Amino acid sequence: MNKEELLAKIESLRTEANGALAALDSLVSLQEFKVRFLGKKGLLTDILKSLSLLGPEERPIVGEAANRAKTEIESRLESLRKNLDQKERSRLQSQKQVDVSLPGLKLPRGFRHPLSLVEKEIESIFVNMGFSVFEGPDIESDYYNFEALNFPADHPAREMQDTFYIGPRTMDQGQRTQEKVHGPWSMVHGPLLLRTHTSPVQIRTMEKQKPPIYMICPGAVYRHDDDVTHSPMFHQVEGLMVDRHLTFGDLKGVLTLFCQTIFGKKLKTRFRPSFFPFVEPGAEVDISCVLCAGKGCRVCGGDGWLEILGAGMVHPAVLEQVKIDPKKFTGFAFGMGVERIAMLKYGIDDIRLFYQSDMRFLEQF
Amino acid sequence: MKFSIDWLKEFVPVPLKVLELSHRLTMQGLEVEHIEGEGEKAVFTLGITPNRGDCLSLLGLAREVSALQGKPLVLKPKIPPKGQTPIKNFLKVSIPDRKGCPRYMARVVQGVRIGPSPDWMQKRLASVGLKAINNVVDCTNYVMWELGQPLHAFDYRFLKEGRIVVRPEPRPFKFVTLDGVERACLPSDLFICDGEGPVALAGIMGGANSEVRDDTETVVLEAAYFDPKRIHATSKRLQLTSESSRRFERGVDPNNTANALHRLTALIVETAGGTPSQDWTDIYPKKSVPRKMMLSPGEVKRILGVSLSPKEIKKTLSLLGLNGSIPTFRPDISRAIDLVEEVARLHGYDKIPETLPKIGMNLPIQPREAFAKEITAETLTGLGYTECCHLSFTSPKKTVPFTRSLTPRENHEESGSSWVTLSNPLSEEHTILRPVLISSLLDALAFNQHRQRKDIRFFELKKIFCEGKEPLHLGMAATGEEWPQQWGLKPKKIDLFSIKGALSQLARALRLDGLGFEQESFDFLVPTASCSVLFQGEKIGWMGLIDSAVLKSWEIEGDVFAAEIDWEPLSLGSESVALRYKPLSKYPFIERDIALVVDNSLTVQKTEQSIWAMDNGWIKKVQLFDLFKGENLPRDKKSLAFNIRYASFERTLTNEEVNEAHQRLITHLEREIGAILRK
Repeated sequence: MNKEELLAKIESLRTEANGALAALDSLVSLQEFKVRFLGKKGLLTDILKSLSLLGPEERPIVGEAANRAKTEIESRLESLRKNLDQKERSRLQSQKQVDVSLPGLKLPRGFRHPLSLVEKEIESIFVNMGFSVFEGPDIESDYYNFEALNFPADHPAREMQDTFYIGPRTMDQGQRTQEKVHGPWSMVHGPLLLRTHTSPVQIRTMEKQKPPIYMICPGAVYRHDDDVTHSPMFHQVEGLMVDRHLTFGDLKGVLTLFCQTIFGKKLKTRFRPSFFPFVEPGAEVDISCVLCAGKGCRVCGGDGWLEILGAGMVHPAVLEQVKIDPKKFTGFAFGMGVERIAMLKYGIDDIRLFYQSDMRFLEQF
Repeated sequence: MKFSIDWLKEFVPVPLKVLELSHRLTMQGLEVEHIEGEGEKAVFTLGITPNRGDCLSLLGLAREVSALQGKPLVLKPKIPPKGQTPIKNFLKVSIPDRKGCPRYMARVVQGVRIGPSPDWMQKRLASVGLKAINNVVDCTNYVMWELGQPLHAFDYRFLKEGRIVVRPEPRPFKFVTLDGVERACLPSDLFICDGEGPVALAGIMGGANSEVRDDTETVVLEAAYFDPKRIHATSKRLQLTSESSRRFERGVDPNNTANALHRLTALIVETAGGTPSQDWTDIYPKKSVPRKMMLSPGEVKRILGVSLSPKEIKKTLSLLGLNGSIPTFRPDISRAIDLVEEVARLHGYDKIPETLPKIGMNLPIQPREAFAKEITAETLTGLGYTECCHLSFTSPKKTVPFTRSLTPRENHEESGSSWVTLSNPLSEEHTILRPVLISSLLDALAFNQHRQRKDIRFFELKKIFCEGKEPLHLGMAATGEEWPQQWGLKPKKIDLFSIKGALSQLARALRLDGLGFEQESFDFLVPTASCSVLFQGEKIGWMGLIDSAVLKSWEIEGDVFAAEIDWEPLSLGSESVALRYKPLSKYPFIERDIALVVDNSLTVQKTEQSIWAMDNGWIKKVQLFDLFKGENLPRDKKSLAFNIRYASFERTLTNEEVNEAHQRLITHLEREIGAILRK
């Protein structure tokens, strides 16, 4: 074959290929086309094989024409492939079309109790400040609940905390016999009762450990009381710091830092004198109302302040009781109601909601 | 304690506005709980802490109000009104119980005319919440309110032999107080007696037998000081609190007795007429005197953290009449720390600067089970169980169904003897402390079902009270559907395996090897769906379907699956786990499914054990993926389908090797457990 024939053949091949390309409508036919025209045994390859029959001057001319034809076909083929690819993806995608407004998969989930959440928050604040966490029994002796905490016997200070006693039912409240009931519970330390505060844990800790002591004790406490704001059982976190050189100023600093951490930096605290037998000077700590920011509202009773903590410097009689020298060591103690804090934090107005397990309530936390 | 501004002004000038006074009282430790009215007529209600008995009087409050204005209170002594007949002509007083009654004063007024007290007095009494009775009784209340000294008036006619004897009754004794109630008294109670017997419960309440009546003509006025502890003990035991006992048990001033008696005598003469006796009885053998007490400025600095000069401290204390010694009207001040508080109180807590303590570095410790507790709660909430917090109280009625078969004793009647009972419960519903959690969980389910909730899952991790211990129990209860009704997911009812699955997941989260479950019946569970839960071979609790009879008494509908376990072994077990990494296999695994037809009675656990038993080290996982009965299977058979994973840590296993091993497994199962391969 000579040069002219070959060039004509290339030209006719180009025309034929272009015609065939226009008819391609699937990736399969595209592949067939590619084999037929450009494959190892394809038509264009045939032509290129005949190049060797030409003279050295003619070869580049025909070669170039063949290559041009090849590039042209390849580029058309590629754009067609992209086109078909795109069509195919769209077809597949249209099959997977979803309504994204459909609800997602709902696996069941439970909720932590609000008191757990608040107690955890309180604990973590104090632990971060360096306080350890200790616990103690709910059933306590008179000694740990009252006597060691400087509650004088036969003094009305004890009635600040109405007490549940352990023992058989008696008609006459004054006559309590406790011979049998308690089994292993120790009766060495006076009559058994449900602790009215977690302060006994302070005593138990100080009996075992010498200062410095930085501790909190969370737990359930019990008082003979039941209405919208009082539950016969509630939860407290008490704290105690005993070391050299601790002052009332430190008490104020630590508790203000705590209140601002749990209720917000802008909050103000107010310390005013109060009385708890195991501390002196004793204080009641108020925070500026979380609802009205101190302007006065229904929650704070109009004066802008909310009672939140009891506190004070550890009474020297308490330190003496656990053989810590009150001349060398000072300390402060504080106590707060977890329910009270949760109620203020979440705006809960009935304490009984905590213990009823109403799902409508619990699933809000 | 209530008081009105105009009454207070009779003791101390009050130039302050009502709100300012209220704020300053509160900041000085006398919390103003409530204010009624305005200006002069404003009535304050104060919350007086139990240590401040002295503030249960206008006199005591006047001291505080004067101090907050920077001046100590100055008082004019009361001049005793003159009288006629010597007291010895009327009355003979003796005090056999000197400890119970350190001071006793009495005076007689003859020829009183009982009638209503004057308007001004009735109004004042009403403003502070006291009921007007008659002029003599009102005077005793009026003076008590003013001076803090409780007072009593007897009708002289009813004092047999004209005698007053302060003593206890040697034997238990029923005494009718003037409120008409019969009181069971003990030999520890102190009485005012006449020549025959008790006429008043000392310091608490007069007797009905000697009270002032409309026709009373001669009265005996009593002003005394009783031992606060004795008064408190009696008042508390009898649950009888009066304005008198409230003051005595907090401690009144034994050196204010005469003042009060004179004021009372004068006021009675003024409002009821009559003539006082010429003199009066005053038995006060051991006079209380102010105690010396010093406070060093160093101590003030050490406790409060602020430096005050000796002069400032002295001046501050003198505002309250604390001039180097403690007056007898402040029995609450017994050591230096009490004076530090007085300094802080008057200086102002708000003036003490806030500081943060400088402490050495230390590692805070937490209760050992804190970590496991948190894992438990988080795992179970993640699995759809909501955390509960119930009261520790319950009733035997709610407890008995569960403790009967849980008590190891033979005699079920005695199951209650390990319960912790309250001697003074609030109600019949709350007489004992919970020995189990399940009853509270059923309460919670019922509460929610009765509020139209159907799908409920609860857990509680709390103390129970039993036989001297307070171990932590984990209780779980679930009813309804496994997941909320939704598109794309078929509904599934909660069943025993929901609870079992949750417990197993919990064990996994606590890094434990797992829990055991052994068929066992309990009275309160359906026997065919009940088991005990074991950990490391020890029984730690139960799991199952609650019996419908039990549910009926809670008015719960539908199936309730529940479990309760002693949680502490899990916590302890979890602590001792040292987590070690296992090397990962480099080689691929091959899986084979196998469906076996076995006897209905053969447990899945036994079948799995049999599969593992022929293990040549290649079986890495056995997973049951289907269980069915019926269709074309014989009645006593079931089909179990397992997915078995083969792999080696040494090399890649070939298909042929695995096929051969799998064939051996089939033969082994056919021989060992009579399984038939289901084609």
